Amino acid sequence: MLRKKAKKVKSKGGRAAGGRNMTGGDPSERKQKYSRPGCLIWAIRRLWQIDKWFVFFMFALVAPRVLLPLLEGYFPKELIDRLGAGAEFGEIAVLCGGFLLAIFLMIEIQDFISSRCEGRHYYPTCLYQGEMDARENYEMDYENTLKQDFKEIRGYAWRDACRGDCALEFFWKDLSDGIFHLTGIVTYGSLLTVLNPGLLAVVALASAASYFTARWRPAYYEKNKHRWEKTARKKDYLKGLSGNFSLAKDIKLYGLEDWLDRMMRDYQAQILIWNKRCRLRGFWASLLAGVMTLVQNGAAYFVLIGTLLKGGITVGEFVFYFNLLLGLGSFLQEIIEDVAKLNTRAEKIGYYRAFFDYPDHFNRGKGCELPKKAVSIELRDVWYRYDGAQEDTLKGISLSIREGEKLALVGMNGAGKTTLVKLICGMLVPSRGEILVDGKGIQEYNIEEYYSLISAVFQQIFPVAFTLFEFVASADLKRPGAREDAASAMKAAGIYDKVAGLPNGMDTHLMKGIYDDGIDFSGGEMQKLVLARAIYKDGAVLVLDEPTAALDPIAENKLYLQYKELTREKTSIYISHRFASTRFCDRIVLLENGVITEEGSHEELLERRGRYAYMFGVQSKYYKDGVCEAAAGGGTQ
Amino acid sequence: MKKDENLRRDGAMKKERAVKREKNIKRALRMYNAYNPRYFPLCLLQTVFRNASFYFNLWISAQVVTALYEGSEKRELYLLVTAALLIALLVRIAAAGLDKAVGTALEILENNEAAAFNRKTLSLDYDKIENPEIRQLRRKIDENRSINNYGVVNMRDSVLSLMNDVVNLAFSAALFTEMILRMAEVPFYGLSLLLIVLLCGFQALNVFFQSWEAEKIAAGWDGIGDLMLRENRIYQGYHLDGMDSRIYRQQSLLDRVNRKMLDDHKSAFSKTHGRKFILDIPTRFTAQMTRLFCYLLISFYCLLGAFPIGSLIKYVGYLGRAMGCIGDILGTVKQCRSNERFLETYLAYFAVNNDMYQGSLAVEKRSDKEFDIEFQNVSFRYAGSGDYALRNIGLSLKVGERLAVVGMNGSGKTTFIKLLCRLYDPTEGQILMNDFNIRKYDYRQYLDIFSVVFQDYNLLAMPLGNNVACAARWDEEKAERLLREVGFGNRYDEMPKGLETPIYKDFDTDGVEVSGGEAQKIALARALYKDAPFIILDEPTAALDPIAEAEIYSKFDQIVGDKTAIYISHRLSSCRFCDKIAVFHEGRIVQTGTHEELLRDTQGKYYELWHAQAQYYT
Repeated sequence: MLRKKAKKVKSKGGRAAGGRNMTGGDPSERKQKYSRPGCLIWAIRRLWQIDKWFVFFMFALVAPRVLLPLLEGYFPKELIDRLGAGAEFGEIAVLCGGFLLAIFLMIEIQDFISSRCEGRHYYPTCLYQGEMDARENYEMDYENTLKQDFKEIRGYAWRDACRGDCALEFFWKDLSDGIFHLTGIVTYGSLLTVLNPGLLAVVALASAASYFTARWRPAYYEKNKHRWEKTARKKDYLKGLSGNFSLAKDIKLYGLEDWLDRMMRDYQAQILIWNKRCRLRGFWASLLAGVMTLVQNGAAYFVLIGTLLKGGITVGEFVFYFNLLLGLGSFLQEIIEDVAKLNTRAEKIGYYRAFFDYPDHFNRGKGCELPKKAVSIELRDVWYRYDGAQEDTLKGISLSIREGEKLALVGMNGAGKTTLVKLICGMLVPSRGEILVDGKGIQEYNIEEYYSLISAVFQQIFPVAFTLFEFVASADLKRPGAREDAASAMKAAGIYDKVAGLPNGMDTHLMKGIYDDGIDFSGGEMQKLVLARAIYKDGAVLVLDEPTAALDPIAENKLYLQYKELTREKTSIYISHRFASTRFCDRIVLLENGVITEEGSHEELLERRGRYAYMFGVQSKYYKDGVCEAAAGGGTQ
Repeated sequence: MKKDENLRRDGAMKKERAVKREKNIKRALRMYNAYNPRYFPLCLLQTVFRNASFYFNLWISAQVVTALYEGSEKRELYLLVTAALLIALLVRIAAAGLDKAVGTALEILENNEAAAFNRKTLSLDYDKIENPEIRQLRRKIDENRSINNYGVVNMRDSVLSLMNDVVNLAFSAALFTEMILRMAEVPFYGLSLLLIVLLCGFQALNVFFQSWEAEKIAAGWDGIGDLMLRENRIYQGYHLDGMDSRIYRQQSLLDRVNRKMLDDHKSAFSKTHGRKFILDIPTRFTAQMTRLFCYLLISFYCLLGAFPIGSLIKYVGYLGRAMGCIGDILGTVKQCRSNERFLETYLAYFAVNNDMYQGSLAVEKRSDKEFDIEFQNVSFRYAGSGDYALRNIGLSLKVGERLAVVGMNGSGKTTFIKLLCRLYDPTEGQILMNDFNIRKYDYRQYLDIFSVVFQDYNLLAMPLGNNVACAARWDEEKAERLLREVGFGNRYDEMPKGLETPIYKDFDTDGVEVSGGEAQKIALARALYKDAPFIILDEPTAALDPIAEAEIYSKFDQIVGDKTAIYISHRLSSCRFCDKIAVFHEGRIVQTGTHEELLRDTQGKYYELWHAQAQYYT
């Protein structure tokens, strides 16, 4: 009874996500810096660190696997020869009893060892998955995760080395198989050489031929898969769409049902054609393999019968050798397969290693001491270009923020505001220029310690199935008074009433359907919750990126009124499209196309009648007219 | 007495359950078979050929050994071998041809199954799609399948394994009869009776132990299956965002969750496998004992001369294969039973029926777009929720009007839209269109009069043209004009393949990523492309910067034309270009009127909302 492993789906949604976790390109095209045997040794070493017994059992399994078929083959030989020689029934009984007892014991040993292996192999995989998760989410530079080549490596490492039929988990089976087959070939081969070396050559040739014909179908598949792989992915995407509940509204209203259904059938039909072609190759291959079997068995029969008739062997030996030949033939085919498999496994393990060896830029060793209170931030000619982008997102930003200053960052979509903030938060490393925090470069701090300075609300909000308390206080749960502080942070963010109204209060899990008490918050509620999290953390730098986009006017206004209180003794950066918010800041910086074009207080910038004043005018037009003309009751069309 | 009754009742319940189980299995099987009725017959044929090949090879070996013992001529021997090998080749070719046919049949079956499942989901009413229980059902089906192929695939495997065992038994039964007949030809000895009794006894014990072991270990497997299902679900909830996880140290929290699961996992696995080894010992022992007596019995008759020595190979082979089958069949039956609960989930999903009333009244295609809507005392409560999301809504909407809907988070604005578009039916009250209840209209035609950009709109990872037209083909001129109208023109001009440009890089490296603002514009163009009499915009400018927002505002009249429009926004500036404003508060409409009228009521909600925002712009 073989159990399939759970598929751990890891994909981040957002848009109309079916299953977005795709990486293009063919892994075999990429060159690796790790040698294949080196990778296997590395993987065994890792296993040795995790579970020494597993490694022992893995190798020990070979012994009973080689001995068992020899016993099984020798037994009928003896039996037939004794029967042919006219042995007594008593002798036969002793012989059968002896052999079967030996076989039974051998099976017990084999099953014992393999049950140990079966029980153990999944655990390391879970560890590897956890390690990858930890590394990606915490232990490496965030910037890496945005890079295309990293994403590719990560994709391969995750998909091939850690999931499903994963290399790191199942290479032990192939390794064990390989050693078994090799040992088998040596023992069987040496037994047969004694008999007839020519026969050995026929078997070897026939096996090689069958192996290569068997490669037809997979080779054809590999060669042509790019022609339908995209279609297959699109098909899966469509399948995911029908299960996407936020899309359901669009599907209904725009009548997408028939179209989606038809598209799926079309894709299926296209893929079917290719699969049929593959199967046709498979058919020819197995036909040829049949012919090879005929040649091999024919040769075996003719040679053995010839030897027997010459009196070289007994009938029992005839049976024994014949089975030995069949066994050897399949071993030869399998060892080629094993080597090929181990080769790909090693390559995949290489991706896992490459994932861990991906270079970091931030300091993870000992860093200089963290400042105790509000910090100053200085950007000196900072440039940034995203990996693979044609253009710089930030072009020579020089900006210094005093300790405790409240800075507002405004600009059009795509001006680079969020990028600037990510640089300050230690998520990205400037392509050029440097960022000084409290007079020292970010790289001088230990990056993990540096993060503890920062409280941030980012634009995109990702709910995680933590309890509300864990979600808000995840930075330090165990601090005495953490619950009280979390409650007051929630109060400040205006979400406490909602939380207190839940049956489990702060211990309710986020996300419906994961835990029984799970709850889904609306966009506005999530925004308040992440604000509470930032307030709770109470870092020296407060960064708010569009924190009111999903809030209603009352809640928005409440945040504005509290802003002074929230930013007491903190350096803060506020990004917003709503110019109302900029009033509460000491200084406003207008970013356009990656450069700072205007800078100053709200009044100063209005007086200057530049871009800022224009944008403010555009936004306030409707409001202003309203208040002035309300009494006039004029039409607005 | 009472105990008896209880027992009887228990018995009756068990029986009922068994009947239901059988019914479910049959229904699922029928349904599955209907996806491609050729599949199972082809499989049967394949099984027959595969087994025939095995038995034939064994038969050849036996014949050859016998011929060798009998000292046949060299020529005769070679002839026998050649003939046998050629027949074996033919059987193998037939089997290969069948493999190919079965592969295709299976693919067609699976395609049809996937399409049927998909169609089922697409055909559900929105209230069903959103219903948590039905969502759960769907998720469970996916989960079950991903863990152990539980459900229909497991059922299919069971059927195939039963087929194989039965065919095997049929083959060996024929050969077994031959063996018995040969045995009957020689005089009978007491020893052979003893051997037969021992053989049958150990075989019975073997079957017993096999099912005993399966019973004992089942809980362990189920435990692992459940553990994996649970882990899988939990994993769905812990996708961290790289920035959040770093700044808020979420990883350390997650590690704790992980470690707990890992420990459970480790112990469950090693315990179950260890237990299985121990529990298996009697099965393996009795299997070898059965083999022993099988060898002894056949050797004994060989010695008696009932059949030639070569037959030893043949009969031992047959018996060995047949004996395993009996235990396998029992195991498969058990597997079928435990899989039934997963089939039930599968069937339940297909049994979900739409219960929204489907009217037949045709929606007139009016060139004047003269559709008047009236909400009469409408209340609504979400399934499974105690509180009303909307209460006593009364509102009328005239053709060509522009209605602004404002209110705080959670005041019921989006629900109002969903009711208007009849994604839900009101719990109480009714909605009229041109004096008829909207339920009376043909549903599809009714939906056709609305273009909506929802707050959580979705674009598809397909070419731009598909996204705008929502169909396989698009009207190039119209799509382009609309994209320009909503302010997507600049970006559109940058796109090398125009409307053919794929959105997102999911499938094409030449796909383009679009920002939130751009996506919103495409969604807007999509709504306009549909050219419906009603246009509804739910927070259409949330992701836009002030300039882009102002652009939409200034073009609003041009964009909407003579359509009836509903505009939902937290930015109250948008109220300025609407004829009528409805203020929602806690599920009720607390105020309606024009901007000026509403502002006059300084105690009203609108005044409060307006000033919360407007104060900063004066």
